[in-house]
Amino acid sequence: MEDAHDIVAALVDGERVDADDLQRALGDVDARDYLIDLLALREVVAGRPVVLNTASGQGRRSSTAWWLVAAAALCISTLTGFVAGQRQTQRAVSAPTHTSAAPGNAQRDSMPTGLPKPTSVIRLQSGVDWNERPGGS
Amino acid sequence: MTGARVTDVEAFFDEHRNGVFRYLRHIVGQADVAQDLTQDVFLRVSRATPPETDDPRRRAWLFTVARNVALNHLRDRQRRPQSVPLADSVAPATQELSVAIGQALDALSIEDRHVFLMREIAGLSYQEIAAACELSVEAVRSRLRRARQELRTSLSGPIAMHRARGVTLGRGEG
Repeated sequence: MEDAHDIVAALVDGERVDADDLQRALGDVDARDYLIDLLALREVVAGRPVVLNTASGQGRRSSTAWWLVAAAALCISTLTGFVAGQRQTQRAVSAPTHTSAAPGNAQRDSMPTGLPKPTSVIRLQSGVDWNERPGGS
Repeated sequence: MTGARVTDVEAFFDEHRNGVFRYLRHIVGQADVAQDLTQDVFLRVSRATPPETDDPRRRAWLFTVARNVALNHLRDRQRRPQSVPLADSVAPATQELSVAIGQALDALSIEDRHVFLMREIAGLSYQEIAAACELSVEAVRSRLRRARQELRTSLSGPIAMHRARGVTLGRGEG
């Protein structure tokens, strides 16, 4: 026969116990006291404030998902920018070249049409010395 | 990993996440560390081949992994400088009780503590605990008895309070 405490413990733990052994065990005052203590101990330990922060766990997962989405968006925008840049360059190269001495014309050529007309035009004349000299002359 | 396998591991995770976390929480004493270790357990589970869904050893196998993760962590922690964990955000009285329970559990031998927590916190059967800890069922009974006797003494105050409130013949956590 098992010890009365073991029988009580097995009962509390959901294990199968012999009915006669249990009856005998429950006839013992100490075993009954032990039974109550085991149940109380279970409540004490299991009732210890331990909470799995499920929301934080989900947050962690959704945070991971967020980073994945952000990384994907960054990749897409980079790729789109690269392709757009490639196309613009090709268009600029294939478009007719304007002869001009002014810098930045190639960039202006690649700009969309419909821009406002220039407000003033500087004409380069041959024979004029444009170098600045002390005195301003 | 196949889709069916991913689903299986996810279902397995959802089913036992709380049990594994609570078990680890009581072993390591810190909720944030226990959360990381729980993730670690399921990372290992996802890389390994768990027993089939209908295999009764499945849960025991999971807790073998959890126990190994906990033991590794405790071993590593011993090597590192000790830091004082901040108390969880609970009411002071409850916090005091929590500390008392933690100290009482820490006073148990590591193997008794694992056996006790697998039973009381994770709700494993004697057979499952025996499989998870590589012990005989008799050894599990013996360790449980010893752990309970020690805790009955060290936590006599809280036990008496619970006795006064009344007890319920609920099942162990699972």
